[in-house]
Amino acid sequence: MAPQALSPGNHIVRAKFEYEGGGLGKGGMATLLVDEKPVGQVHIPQTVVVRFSLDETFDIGEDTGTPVVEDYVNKMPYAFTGTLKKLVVVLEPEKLSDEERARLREEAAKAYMAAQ
Amino acid sequence: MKRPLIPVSLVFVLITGCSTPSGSQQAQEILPKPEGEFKGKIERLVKDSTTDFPKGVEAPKGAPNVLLILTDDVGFGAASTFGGPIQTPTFQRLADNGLKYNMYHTTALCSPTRAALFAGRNHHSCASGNITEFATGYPGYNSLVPKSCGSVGEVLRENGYNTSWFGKMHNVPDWMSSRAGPFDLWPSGLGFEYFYGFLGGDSDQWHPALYENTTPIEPYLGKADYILNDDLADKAITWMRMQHALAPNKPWLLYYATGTDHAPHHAPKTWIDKYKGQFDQGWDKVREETLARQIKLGIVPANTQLTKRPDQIPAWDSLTPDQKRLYARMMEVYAGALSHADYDIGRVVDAVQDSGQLDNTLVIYMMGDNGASAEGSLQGTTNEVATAGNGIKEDLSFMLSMIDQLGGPLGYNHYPVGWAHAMDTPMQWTKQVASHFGGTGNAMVISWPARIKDKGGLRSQFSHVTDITPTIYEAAGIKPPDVMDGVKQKPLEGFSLVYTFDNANAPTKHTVQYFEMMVNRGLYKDGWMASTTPLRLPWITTVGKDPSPDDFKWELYNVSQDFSQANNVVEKEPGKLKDLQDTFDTEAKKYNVYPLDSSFAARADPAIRPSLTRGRNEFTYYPGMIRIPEGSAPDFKNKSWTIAAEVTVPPKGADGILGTMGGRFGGWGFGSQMESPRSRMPYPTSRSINSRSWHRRPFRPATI
Repeated sequence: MAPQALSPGNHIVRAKFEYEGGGLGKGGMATLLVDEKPVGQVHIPQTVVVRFSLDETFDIGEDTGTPVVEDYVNKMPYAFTGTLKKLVVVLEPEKLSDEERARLREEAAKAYMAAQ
Repeated sequence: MKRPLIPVSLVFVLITGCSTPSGSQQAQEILPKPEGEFKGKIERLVKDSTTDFPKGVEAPKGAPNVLLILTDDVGFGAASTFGGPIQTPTFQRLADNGLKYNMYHTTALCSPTRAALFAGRNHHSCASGNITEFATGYPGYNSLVPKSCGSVGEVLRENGYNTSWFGKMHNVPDWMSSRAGPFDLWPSGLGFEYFYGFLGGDSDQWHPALYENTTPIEPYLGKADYILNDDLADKAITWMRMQHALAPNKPWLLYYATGTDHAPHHAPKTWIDKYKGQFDQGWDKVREETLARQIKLGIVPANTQLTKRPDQIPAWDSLTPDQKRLYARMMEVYAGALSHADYDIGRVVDAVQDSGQLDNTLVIYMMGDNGASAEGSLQGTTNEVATAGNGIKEDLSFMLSMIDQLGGPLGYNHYPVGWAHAMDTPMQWTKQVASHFGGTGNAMVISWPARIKDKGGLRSQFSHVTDITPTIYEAAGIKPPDVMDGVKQKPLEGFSLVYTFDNANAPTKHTVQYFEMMVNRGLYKDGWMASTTPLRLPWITTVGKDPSPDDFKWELYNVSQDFSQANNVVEKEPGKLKDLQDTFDTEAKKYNVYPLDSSFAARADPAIRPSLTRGRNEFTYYPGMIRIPEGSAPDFKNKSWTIAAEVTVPPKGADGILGTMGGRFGGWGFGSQMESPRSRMPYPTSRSINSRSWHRRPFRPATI
């Protein structure tokens, strides 16, 4: 779908990720909705398993540290120029098997040991 | 005149009431110092009264300033002062103006060593038997440094010092490292009046996640050549100058802990290029050259043998030319970073000297908090987050395509195990392996020109990181508190090194020391060392069945004659081994080392530790909420989720970030670009991507 401009005024912008399961770090369908109408969709084949970062953080309304993509590297921290009233995150229950959960712990152990 | 006598007698009762079982009548040292009694006179009118203004706490007369310097992941054989291949002129300058310690030891891991340093007790004794991300619910391992192990910062502050901390702090429990605190275990809660640094193990040196006290700051914004070492030195100099200008009679404690040379290895290119071609001979040759220099310098005894390279580390000669080219460059980066950090430390020392204070400044420069890190895998990595953090494999051609980015802002690089091992020359093993001196042996220098006369001398008394805080107390003339903040203090567990200043041959006071890290165990006693053989190597990334603590075999070394632990004499001295094993048991019971836990994955389970997010599935945030640590943020991994932003777009349109996690080495962002909202989610993939800017790392973004 071609990029569309957000019209001036109030909106709810929502990103929805539906994990397809079947193991750790698997893919899923990501949908972008504006005022609850889907405006774009992409299949993400693979996702992060354990850690997004060993030192960077979760930021609201701007991006501290390094940019996620280089498109805005010259605009850091690239704070939102409109008004962000609030941002709500809803997590769905994780549906890993016991075996997958055990593997996740192993992967986490490796990640933490690297970050000491 | 009877009034003043009453409180005096009360104090006497208090003293006798708390006297030690031995019947000692010595007064307890209580911090903060009890407020003095008013000794003036109060009548109805001022004209009939006399004043007595409280004096406040003053440091003991002549107490030195204390400059405590700690580098990260630097092994015994790295710095040129100790025969290594990396130039460290500041370390050398302090050694020439003080003493080198060649039998100084740490705990083999970062947070445990740092806790033992500032708390002056063994790492398990101050609840830091492992890193906080591996904390378990036992007194030796919960990572909550107890108030009975009061910090050197607080003790000095309460004795009339100004105190500050610059750089790394990896002792805040994971679940306390957000802005919700509590802040008891942040530097400001540990008696450090000023903190400028980062929390955690890794820090991107180009874009560090810094705090000033408890406030997150981004000083790199808009500065293309920003790098943390330069900034740390600038801030330390500013603080020290300010303190000295305003309160010249008040001594200071300045603790300076670099993020260098922990991964990611970052340094200005000019510093890296100083080492161009200097490691082409490879790690085996570098080990030989280093030992030869160590012997020549007298850093190690002349009969010291080069320990055998473990079979699990490849010989340099077995590598392909491409591998050699890549790995040599990775080592150049590591070397350049350490030289750069040492240069900036030199600027701090210069500033102390320029202000006329160096003569009465006790400088303790610890070259490393443990051995060099073998956590970068056998081939090293260009992105530790992807490889060690998420199990992604990098192929050689991809890594070679990144060679010019190593050390720069687009790399999150670590070097191969072979180099870590070489940086621990002449010892066996590396960081994490507490059983052997490759994990625990570190170079250390103490300089105090006003006090130490044997300038350039060498000291070989066995010593340990727990000795540093007692050394500071003795040098400052401070009695360690029996009670601080109302909490009875554990006795210090190290030995002041002041006794070594005037006597190179004084027998060591530190005659027994246990070591334990993930069940790698060691016991030093009177010139002997018992060492378990490691079963899980630091760079092994496939996790199999955990070994039992009883599966470990023991080795035995006469380290008074075998400096590097080259000759295992366990077969010849079974009685000696038994004695050392029994002593380990005694020490382990005394210092909370038990229960031994050789599990790896089970300890990483966040469910065994407190959490700010467990049980929550809906989170509401507002603009300005930045720098939420990943461990305190919603866990977006391996599940479905939605993010919804309520926005108002002005007539001219809007762009920017609504929410983001991580950064260029791994992360996702949600925002609008050119007035079009998009969600971008880089994810790791095993393929290297050649399109546009994405060729430089095995990550590819998905964009809606």
